[in-house]
Amino acid sequence: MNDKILEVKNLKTYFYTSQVIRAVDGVSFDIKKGEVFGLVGESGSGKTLTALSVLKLINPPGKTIDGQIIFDGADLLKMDEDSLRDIRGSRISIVFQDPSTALNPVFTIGYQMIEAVLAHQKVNRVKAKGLSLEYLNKVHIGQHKKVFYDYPHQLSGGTKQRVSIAMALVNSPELLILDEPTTALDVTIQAQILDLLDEIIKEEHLSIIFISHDFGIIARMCDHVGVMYKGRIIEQGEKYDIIKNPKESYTRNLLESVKALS
Amino acid sequence: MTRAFLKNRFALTGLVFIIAIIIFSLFAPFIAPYNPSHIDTKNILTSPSKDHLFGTDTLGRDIFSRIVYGSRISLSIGFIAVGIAVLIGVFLGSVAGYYGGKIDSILMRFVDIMLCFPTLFLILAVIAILEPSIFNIMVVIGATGWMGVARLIRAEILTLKERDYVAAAKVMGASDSWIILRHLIPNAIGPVLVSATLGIGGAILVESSLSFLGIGVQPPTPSWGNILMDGKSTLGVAWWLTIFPGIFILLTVLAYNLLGEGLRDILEPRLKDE
Repeated sequence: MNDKILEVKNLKTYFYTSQVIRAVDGVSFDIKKGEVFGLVGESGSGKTLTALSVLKLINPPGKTIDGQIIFDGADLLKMDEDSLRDIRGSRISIVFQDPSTALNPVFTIGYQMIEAVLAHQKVNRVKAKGLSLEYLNKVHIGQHKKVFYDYPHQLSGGTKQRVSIAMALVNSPELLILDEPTTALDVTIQAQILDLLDEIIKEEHLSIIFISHDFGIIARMCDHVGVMYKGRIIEQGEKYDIIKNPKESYTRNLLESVKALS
Repeated sequence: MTRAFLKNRFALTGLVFIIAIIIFSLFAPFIAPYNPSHIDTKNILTSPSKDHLFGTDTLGRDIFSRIVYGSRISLSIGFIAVGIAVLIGVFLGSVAGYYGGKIDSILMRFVDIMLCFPTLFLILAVIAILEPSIFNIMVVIGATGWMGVARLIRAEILTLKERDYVAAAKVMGASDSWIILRHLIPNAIGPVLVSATLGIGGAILVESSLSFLGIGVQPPTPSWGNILMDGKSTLGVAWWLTIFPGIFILLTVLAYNLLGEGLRDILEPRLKDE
């Protein structure tokens, strides 16, 4: 039985500017069903671009030139736009780093959530509204009925991130990509969002790619970890193995930096 | 935003005057005391009086009535010409901004070329070839006035398309046209609104210039420009033929400019202090 939900093999995404920038240069990893896989590394190491490549969201001058992304038996890189559209947002979805740009400022939260539901589910608007409210409640937004009619600028950063999470979950995805979901928030809100994510991971049996530069958060959230440096995964394995027995000096340095702070 | 608008005296003055002039043109048949084309040979070139508020012209037609009916033509040319310009500009600008690359280069070079033509002479040439009907004038003014809008929209979309909600919409399975129409244009429309408001004033002026040169709206249909032109030959003896339509053009264009400037202050508060 194939229990892997996602297999990424030798993924290469290059940017063709005046010179060729090898942003993702031969990345391979697997994610089992129900597993939380952490990608950790410094800024510019290619974490986010790996995630965006998985969703085929790379804009020119960037291009994914090689590799395979096998999701549920099919290679996403060989898939046409239409089939891809059925997968993106409904079976794989993403929460971005900065909640202030992840929501469209000219529409209400409710409108955007209903739009997300209607894009993938054949339900009427009343049902879609019910579902949206249910998920806003699930991410513990106190006044979810009021927030539904609010515009993004009326909400705090933490609430906006909760809305983004609700929006990513509303179509019950199998794989969720969390791209530094707490980096743009202050520490107390970070802790609350991490608690929320913990709870959701347990409840919804999601498989997750968790991207962060913070080894502390990775250690808390993930089962498996891949350490990225200069577009490559230089070390990967069980979380405890990596934390206790880092093989690469770069990983050791990353771990040291967390210890030095705490 | 409504409150900011009410606080802004310039914008409010402009808006009130524009609404007044629109009501004026909508209810023209009730406001105008005479038929604007009615020729009255007994009352040629009478100066402003109780019977003829703004006097009469060389054919004895009532100037006030002609101005009231002329406002319909002048205003609708302003609106529709700018509407056409905005449609073309928003379409080409958003396509150029969103797709970038070669499409962007080609479209923006086309904009550069269009901007090189002296607009009024281009319009004159086109109208001279086609017939000077109201419809042609609207289309030609619109077709030569969209470049500013295209540049504005393109610049806005270049920054907006990098936002995460665009990526999020893509993840949700939104098509390019959906993203442009529903996510990008509503966010980019502010500066366009300002430029369109200022553009309406400009279009009314262009129509007046064309009519003044005799290739605009053709008599006997009154427009502010051709009433002005009719008065040109008798300027020495009958000042009211040119002064009154002139004042209406001035005030209307001024009102649109005030409204446009006011909207800019409200939509882009950063510029206010400078």
